[in-house]
Parts: sequence; structure tokens; C-alpha cells
Amino acid sequence: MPYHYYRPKDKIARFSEYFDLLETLFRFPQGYTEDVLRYQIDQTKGSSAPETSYIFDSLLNYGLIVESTDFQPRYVLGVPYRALLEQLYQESQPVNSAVIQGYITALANCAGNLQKAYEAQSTPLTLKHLQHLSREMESISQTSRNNRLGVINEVRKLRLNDEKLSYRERLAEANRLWDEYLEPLREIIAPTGTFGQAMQHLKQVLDNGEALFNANVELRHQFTHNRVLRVQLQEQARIDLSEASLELDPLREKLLEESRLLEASSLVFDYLEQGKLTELPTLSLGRKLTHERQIDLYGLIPWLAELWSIQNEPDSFSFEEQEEVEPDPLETEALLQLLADMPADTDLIEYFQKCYNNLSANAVLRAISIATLHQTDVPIGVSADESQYWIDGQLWKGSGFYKITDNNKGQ
Amino acid sequence: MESNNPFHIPGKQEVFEALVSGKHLSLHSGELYHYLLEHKEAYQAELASLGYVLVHEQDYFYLLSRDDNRTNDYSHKVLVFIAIMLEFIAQTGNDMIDTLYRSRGFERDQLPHFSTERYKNYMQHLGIEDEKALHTLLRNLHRSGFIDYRESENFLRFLPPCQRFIQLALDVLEQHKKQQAEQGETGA
Repeated sequence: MPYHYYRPKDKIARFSEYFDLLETLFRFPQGYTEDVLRYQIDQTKGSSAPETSYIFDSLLNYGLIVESTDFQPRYVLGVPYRALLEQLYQESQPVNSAVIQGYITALANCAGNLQKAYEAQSTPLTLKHLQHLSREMESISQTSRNNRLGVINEVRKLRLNDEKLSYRERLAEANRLWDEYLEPLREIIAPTGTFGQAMQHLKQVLDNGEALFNANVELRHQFTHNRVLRVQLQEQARIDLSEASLELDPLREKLLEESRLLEASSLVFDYLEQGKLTELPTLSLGRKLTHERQIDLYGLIPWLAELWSIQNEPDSFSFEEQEEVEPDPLETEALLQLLADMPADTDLIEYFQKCYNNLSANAVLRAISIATLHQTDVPIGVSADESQYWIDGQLWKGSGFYKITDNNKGQ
Repeated sequence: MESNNPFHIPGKQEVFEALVSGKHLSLHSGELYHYLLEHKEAYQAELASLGYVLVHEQDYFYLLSRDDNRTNDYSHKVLVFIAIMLEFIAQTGNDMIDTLYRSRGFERDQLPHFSTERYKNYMQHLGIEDEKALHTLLRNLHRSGFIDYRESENFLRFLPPCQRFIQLALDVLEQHKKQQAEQGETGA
């Protein structure tokens, strides 16, 4: 294609003239084939506009659209105009490693050109390359800011999830954002990365030049400006990375956690489908009047005294409503009958064991609790001395409980 | 006199009854939860003397009995019940946890558990074959403090103690992955 020079003012005028079409291309970054693009021109041009082929050539000549090098060429928005619209719409395309490599090359070129200008001891060339370097660094800084805005926009969309993406799709999207937006920023601020090394080299070149042209006021000002820009760029990238991470990290962690939850649910279903549900662990739930052998029998007294108003055991419920449960020999009714029948001055625990073989420690302790709660029916005494019991294969030590006669009440 | 009784803890009788009956007490439980929160150490000490462990996780309380390793079908039922809820919510594209615990709850007749053949099969495996059996399960979940279920209003809401089952599911997944990794290493 022959080279055409157009004044910037004319380019902007043409950009404005075909804004609707170019804005469509901005929203469709993969570009249009020639046929589709010509159709789009037809659809957007006014009735008094020139021929479609004229407009097509004009857009190409002005550099407003460029042809890709794909097997089947596609037409995309020219890079400066895309950047302008991104800026105007505060949108951003992710910066991939190829773009970062482009910046590294650009910075290396700037450093190389400055070195040559130093060797030629040329003030105008040094000034020109310093100005070029400023623009490059400002451009990279802008990219960093755009990346942050890009993350915030994308995270907002993911949170709202208007597209009704599944969890896995949302997680994949969050991971893509991480890779495409945050990793480049990380690369920019990493001192040991290739970008960091390029920046370090640039610092050396600027220091050398500043020493060489110290007497020139204008150059000294430009060197200072570039040195500040270099520091600001790194600081800007660090802040952008930090803020973008703050936005993305919680969502990513949440999606990751909930994706795990979905995976866990599927696993539960797998166990169920394979008839292996019983192999899964369970939670201990439901009624637990099951005192363990570590219980201190003395501890029961204040507790039960406080609970004196409870005339019956606390209501409990069975989760296995269909299941037939073997009745406990010392259930409340049976126990109260046993207490009524037992002789006075008899030790409760010894008597229970005498009546029923193989009572568990839990059953015995539970029976003691109930007996103590029902003192209005059968008075129970507590011995001051420590007693020892052999219950269910374990040695127990604690207070002794015994049935007292009416004559001994109050003791 | 309560004030002279060194063993007095406010709300003791009601809290004891609720906890021992297997209820989980959360913010939703009102004053019982606040009794526990304000006198946590006293409750823990006293319950420990009776052989219980009072557990306080996130914003709910429940009792554990030491060395109680018995399995129970009820736990499996609830685990599957909640897993179905989570999968169903995920399919709608909404946030799973936020939606599960949303304050506006769910309508009972809109629950997904009999909405697909697959879910119906799961429920049948658990012995929950009809609405009546589901109602029994919901009633038990309500009594144990996992949900707020108001049958007459066709309303139910999941409460924070359900987190126990969510954590259980995650533990199962972790254990499964660990086993797979070990088998992979052995195979290699």
C-alpha cells in the first residue's frame, strides 16, 4: 500500500466522520473480514456519503483501520485509535507478555539511542531521545492504569454475573483475569524480571548522561524528569497491582472455595450412587445424655441442684424415627419403679448392677442423674466419703448415692 | 437465691434443655444464644464437668460428647440434602453460600429435591420418597437448629450451623484428594 501522509487534524476529522463504524470495530476486537466490513460501511454511512469502496480505501489510507496478517485478512481498528477509545471509555484490553516484551524492546532502544547520542556528544539528539523515552514511560504507566481499570470492570461483571456463567466458568474467567491483567503488572514491578532489568539498565544510562551533560540546564531538567518518571512508573505499577489484586483476590478465593464445594457435593453424590454413603464420616448429632467416665460425680450436685425445677428429663428427639430402638433397662419409668422397690440404705450403683448385668457406665450415670432429679418420689442421699465402683470394666471414684428412708430425710 | 448461688448461670435450664436435646444455638435462637455468648466460659466449665464439650464455631454453639464416634444415618441424610441445595444454587449461577443463607429463605414447595429424576433417586436412596418424609426431615432439621422451618408459611431458611455439614463435605473432598495423591505416588 502506498504511503500517505495526513495531518493529525485531518486524521481526527476523518475519525470523527466515521466514528460509528469505528466504534463498532472497537467493540469487535477480532476485526471484520473485508466483506463484513464493507457491509458495515453500507449500514452506517449516510445517504449522501461517497461510495463504499472509497470509504474503505480512505479508512485504510488514514490508518484508521489496519489489515491483519491472518490467512484470511481481517480489518481491525488502528492501535492509536483503539488506545484513544480505551482511554475515553476507560476500558482496557489485557496486556500480555508480548506487549511487555514490546515495552522492554522499546526501552532498550531508547537506552541504546541515548548511548549513541552520548558518544556523539550531541545535545539535540540526547534531548530528542530523552523526550521519546518520557513518552514511552508515560505510555507504559497508562497501560498499567488501564490494566487496573480493566480488572475492576471485569470483576464487576463477574460479580453481577449477568451472563449466568457457571461456577467453573466464573473461576476460569477469574483465573484468566489474573493471568492476563495481574501477571503483566507483576512482571513490571519484579526487580529480577526482564522488565526490571531493562529499567535498571535505563537507570544506569540516565545516570551516565546526567553526569555527562551536567552543564546543560535543559538536558539536566530532562534527565531529572526521566529519572522521576522511571521511579513513578514502578510505583504506579506497584499500586495498580495492589489495587487490582484487592479487587480480584477476594472474588477469586470465593469462587475457588465455592467451586471446591461443588466438587465436594459431586463427590457425596458419587458415594451415594455407588452405595457407599455409609463410608462417609458423620457428624455427632442429637441427644447426648452420655456422660463419660472422666466425669466427676461431685460435679453433678450443683448442676442438678440448679436444675431442680426440671421434673422430667429434657425433651429429646430421635433422628431415626423409623428405627426400633432397644429400650434402656434404666429408662425413667423403669428406673423409678426400681427405686421404689429397692430397700432403703442401699447403694444405688451397686443395686443397679445387681439388677442388670453389663450396664454401661453411661447408663449408670444417667440413671443416677434421673434418680437425683426425681427425689420427690424417692429420696436419695449422697455419702460424704469417696466410693469406688467397678463399672463396665473401669474403676470409678466419686460420691456414693443411696436410697434413704423417710426417717433419714434431711440428712 | 440465684445471686448467692455460685453455680448460677443465667438461662441455665433453658440452655441445658436445648443443647442436650441436640439443638444448635445460633443468633437466630435469640436469648439462649446470648446467654451462651455472654457466659461462655462458665457454661463450658460446667458442661465439661458433666462430660460434654460445648463447641463455639463462628456464630453458633452445640454440644459434643467426647469419644462419640457413632455413625448415624441422619447425618448422611442432611449431608445429601444440603449437597443437593448447593448444586442446585450453583446451577442458577448465584453465589452458593450467600444464596443458601439468604434471609428471605426458600419456599418449601420450590425445593429442588424432587425436581429432577436424579435428585429423586438420591432422596429415595435415603428413604425419603415423598413430601411427607421430606417434611419429617425438615422438622428434625428445625428442631436441631439447622433451619428455620415454618410449615404453615411454606417457608424455610438455612441457619449458620449448616456450616458443619458444608465443612464435612469439604473434609470428605480433602480426604478423597489425599487418598488419590497417595495412590498416585504408590502407582508411580
